Amino acid sequence: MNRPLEAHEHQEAPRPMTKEEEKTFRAGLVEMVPVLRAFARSLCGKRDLADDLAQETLAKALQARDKFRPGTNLKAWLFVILRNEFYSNHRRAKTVTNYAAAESIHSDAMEPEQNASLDLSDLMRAFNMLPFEQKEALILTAGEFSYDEAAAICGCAVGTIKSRVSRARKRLESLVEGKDGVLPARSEHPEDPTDAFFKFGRSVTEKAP
Amino acid sequence: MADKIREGGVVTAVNPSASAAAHTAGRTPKPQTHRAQQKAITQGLRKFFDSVASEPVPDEFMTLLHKIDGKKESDA
Repeated sequence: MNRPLEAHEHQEAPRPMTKEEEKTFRAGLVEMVPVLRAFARSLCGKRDLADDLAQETLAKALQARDKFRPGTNLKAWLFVILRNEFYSNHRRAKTVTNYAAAESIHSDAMEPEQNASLDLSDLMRAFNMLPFEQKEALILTAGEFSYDEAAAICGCAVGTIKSRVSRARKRLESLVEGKDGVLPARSEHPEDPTDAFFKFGRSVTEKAP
Repeated sequence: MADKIREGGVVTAVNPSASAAAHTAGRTPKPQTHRAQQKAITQGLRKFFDSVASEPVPDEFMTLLHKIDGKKESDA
C-alpha cells in the first residue's frame, strides 16, 4: 500500500533497540511533534489535514521504530515518513492549493507583522500555489536542512533540490511582486495591509467553490 | 547559480528604515534588491514554519502521545 521508505542511510542495519535507545526514541518523537506539525502544515496548507498527517506520521514511526538507527537524524527520518504518507494517501487531491487556504494559514499561524519588502500573508498565499515538490524543497532548505539532507529526505538528487528551490524562489518572487499577475492585489486599504488581508481572505473564502 | 539560502539562523534581509518608509508611503516598497527579496522569502517561510511549530500541541494528539510514552501500550 504505502510506499516503502526511500533508500536512506537510516535503514541499513535494522535491529531491535535497546531499552535505553527506545526510551530516547520515544522522547524524541514527542519532542518532534511541533516540527512535524509545521512541516505537515507547509505541505497541506490546511490545519486539520496537516494535523492528521502529523499524527499518522507519529503512529507510523512508532510502529517502524526498529528501522530507525539510533544516533542518526530522527527529524530527517520522520520527515521521510511524513512525506511518504503525504504522497501515498491521495492527500494531494484534498489539499487546498488556492487562495482560500491563505486565510486559515494566516489566522492560525501568523503574527500580523510586516517585512519591509515582503508581506507574510502574500508570501504564504504565493507559497500555497507552488507545486508540492517545490514547497517541500523550499521549506526543508529554509529551515535547518542542507541541500544534501533535503535531497536525502525527498529521495532525489541534490541538483534536483537546488533547481526546485531556485525555480520556487523565482516564482514566489514574481508572485509577491505582482509580476506574475496571478496573486490578486493585496489591498484596497493600503494604510492597513493586514486588515485588508483579512477582508480579502474572507471574501475569497466565501467565493471559493 | 543557486544561492545559498541557509543563513545559519536568523536571516536579516529586512531593512527597518525601509519598513518605516513602507508605512508612511502606505505601500509595499519596491524590493531593494533581488538578493534581499530572496532572503526575505527564506526568512518569511522560516517564520511561518516556526510560528506553526510554536503553537501548543492540540489535545487531539494526547492519545497518541500517551501511547508513545508507553503509558497505555501493553507491549512496550
